[in-house]
Amino acid sequence: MEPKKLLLAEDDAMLASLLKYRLEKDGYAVAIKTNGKEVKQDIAEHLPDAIISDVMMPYFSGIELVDFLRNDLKSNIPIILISAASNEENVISAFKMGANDFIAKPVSPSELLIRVTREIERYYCT
Amino acid sequence: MYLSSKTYQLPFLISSPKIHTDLLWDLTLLFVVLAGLYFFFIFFFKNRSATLFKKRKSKRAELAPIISNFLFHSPEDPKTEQREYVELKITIREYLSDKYFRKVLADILFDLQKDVAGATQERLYNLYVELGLHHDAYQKLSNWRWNTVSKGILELSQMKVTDAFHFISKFINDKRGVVRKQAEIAIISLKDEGINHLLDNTKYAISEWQQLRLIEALSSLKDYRPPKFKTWLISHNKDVVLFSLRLIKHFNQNEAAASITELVKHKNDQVKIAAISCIKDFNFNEANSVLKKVFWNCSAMVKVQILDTIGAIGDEGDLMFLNEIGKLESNFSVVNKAHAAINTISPDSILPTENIVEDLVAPITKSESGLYDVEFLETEVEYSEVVVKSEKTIETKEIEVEEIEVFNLVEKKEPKAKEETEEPIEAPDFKIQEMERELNKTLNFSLGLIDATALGKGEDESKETQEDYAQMSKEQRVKFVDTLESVGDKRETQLLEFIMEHEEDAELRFRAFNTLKSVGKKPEQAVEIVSKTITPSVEPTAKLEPEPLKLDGILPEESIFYDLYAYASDMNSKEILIQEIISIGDERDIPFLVQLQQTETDIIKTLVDKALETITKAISEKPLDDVLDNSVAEVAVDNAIDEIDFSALQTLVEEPETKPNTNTDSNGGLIPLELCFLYDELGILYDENNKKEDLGLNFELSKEFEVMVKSNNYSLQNE
Repeated sequence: MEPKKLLLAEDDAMLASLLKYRLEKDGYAVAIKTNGKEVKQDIAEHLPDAIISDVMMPYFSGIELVDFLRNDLKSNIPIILISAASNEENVISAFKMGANDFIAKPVSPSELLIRVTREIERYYCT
Repeated sequence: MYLSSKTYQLPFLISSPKIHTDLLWDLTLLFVVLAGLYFFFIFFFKNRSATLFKKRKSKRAELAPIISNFLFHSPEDPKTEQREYVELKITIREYLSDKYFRKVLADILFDLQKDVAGATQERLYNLYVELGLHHDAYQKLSNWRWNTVSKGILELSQMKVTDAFHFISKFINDKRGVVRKQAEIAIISLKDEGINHLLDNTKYAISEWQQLRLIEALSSLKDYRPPKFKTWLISHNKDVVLFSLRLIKHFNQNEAAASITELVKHKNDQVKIAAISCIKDFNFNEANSVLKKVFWNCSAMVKVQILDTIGAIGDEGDLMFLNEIGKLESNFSVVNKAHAAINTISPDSILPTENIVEDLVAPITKSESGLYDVEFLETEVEYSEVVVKSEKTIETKEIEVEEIEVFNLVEKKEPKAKEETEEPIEAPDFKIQEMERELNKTLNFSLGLIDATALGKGEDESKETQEDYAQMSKEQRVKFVDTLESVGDKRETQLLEFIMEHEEDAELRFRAFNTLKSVGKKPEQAVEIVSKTITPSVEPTAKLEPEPLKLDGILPEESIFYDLYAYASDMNSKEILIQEIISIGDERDIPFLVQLQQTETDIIKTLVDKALETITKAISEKPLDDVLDNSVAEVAVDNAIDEIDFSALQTLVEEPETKPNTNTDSNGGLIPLELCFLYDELGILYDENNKKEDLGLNFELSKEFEVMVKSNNYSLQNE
């Protein structure tokens, strides 16, 4: 069975690398993008199975990414947002835009893995 | 002219200096070289930092998978991964010998621990120690640079190296502020008992911001069980006490009531305010009495806090105290807060009076039954009293007219009520009528409708009331005394004296005594002035709240030297000030001097004694006319003397002689002790034999008191 392709948009290279390692260890194919412009370009060409994105990113924020994905690309693929600014306003706006989940930093890689798996299963098995 | 001639005589000042061209070229060359060097260094260091950044980035990229591998390695992983793990371990050991590599690795782990949580974070901490990176941090602690030491402390605390606790705890009393603060936070984060260590050992002040950071650090600890912070309320470091109070509040440790209440008496205002805030937050009702006791000796800021707390936790029993503050306190914000507190305890007791047009005030409506209950009348009286007070300050004539109307309304209702009520008025009505009569009298008096002669007319009524009082049950008497306490005035003097002499219940006697003292002061300010200048004051608060420093109704703060003395930093200045008091001081400085006697050093005490002696001597030598040399004081004295019922006072003095066995049942023929105090308060003289006979005690009077009694006696003789 072909591994699910995940796009990890995170500007902190060390954290991105750590999460990638953890997700790959559980059978996902992870591509890392370090800024919003790259992410936008990448998903416009070919959509991954799910996206994990930091909210605060250079050029293109995570919220804008959700908006672009849902309204411009008309895609419903799972998108999970990660942010250090986990105030109510941010979380609500993320969910309003159509994000599937929201995780506050510091992130537990194991927790992220479970959430990603659950969202992918929910999306692809229903 | 002079200048112009000089200008032409000194041409070298306006001509350019002669410099050799070679020198100019040399200077040009020098500056070009310097500029070249400057740009060279800029490019050199920029390139160097860019190279280092790139190098670090590549190192981080290189190390990222290794760290990830270490963090997520599991013994259950497949063989290939196990082999990879072993190889990485060997590689990293080789790298670890390089100092730069260790630094980068420590930085990576330090940055990463902020972004990860849970089991991964725990593994990260372990990896940091396993790789021996904490040794580098230990080395930083011994560095002479404060920033390096601080960084080392931060690294060790963030990476949860608990073994570093003892190394870091040495820095909590470091003279470098940044290091000290970092160490404080570190020891709290590393171990649960860190806070105990900090509070036990810190010698420096803990700023408010630092306190908040420390509380935040404590709150972030997992499964933290805070110690009983009341233990540190006895600390000698006031900042520790303050911090403990804040912690007590934060962790809701409300079992420290006694200690917190005691801290209200602390000499430091910050501690006082923090303790009062705790009392308010925890609703320590039992601290109310202490708050009231310390109130008069506090600064305005503390007074406001106390009143705020009394407003929050107090009850109707505190209204009398708050009303007293409204009358005696001069500070606007304190008075305002007292009024706010009154309104909090008893809503709408004090209504707005500023810019209120009296014509728009609706008249009092008659109740359907035509009878008034006591509470209703009390409210009306309070209202009218408030209006009177405020209006008196603006324009007296207007008030009289308006208040007559209010009074008439109250008076007119009585017969109408009787006409309309067909049923005979029974026992409870006696009380109501009695109250109404008392209240009407109070109103009349406060409105100025009753003069001194009118008071005389009320003697018959007073006798009737005394008889009625004697027939009352105990409950009725208690209520009656309650009413007298709240609305009584000078006209109740006889009745109150009657109660003091004939009442069997000691508590009621004492309350009557207190009320008598308070009514002696209440209505006119003139009495206050007289009591201040001539007689020992009949000031209610002075006795209700024992205040050693408030002598003769005068506070130490009233001395003109009080503020100056507070700012005197050295002994010489203090001595000079006291010398000044000796030369120009008067009776208003006595309380201040007495305060100094209690608090100051021996040298100052000697001077203070001298000052007291001089002032006392000066007062005793000064004739009364000199004492009251200003017209205001004279008028005040006249008014006050008019109001003193001398016959009644004389009766009071003579009574024990003429009726020696009046109180034989309860007091064995002696007058009540409270009355003796009252005699002393009023400055009534009686000979030594009588004193001994009456009280069975021989009090020694202070010199000042004797002087005041003499002055009073002199005024009585004049009269």
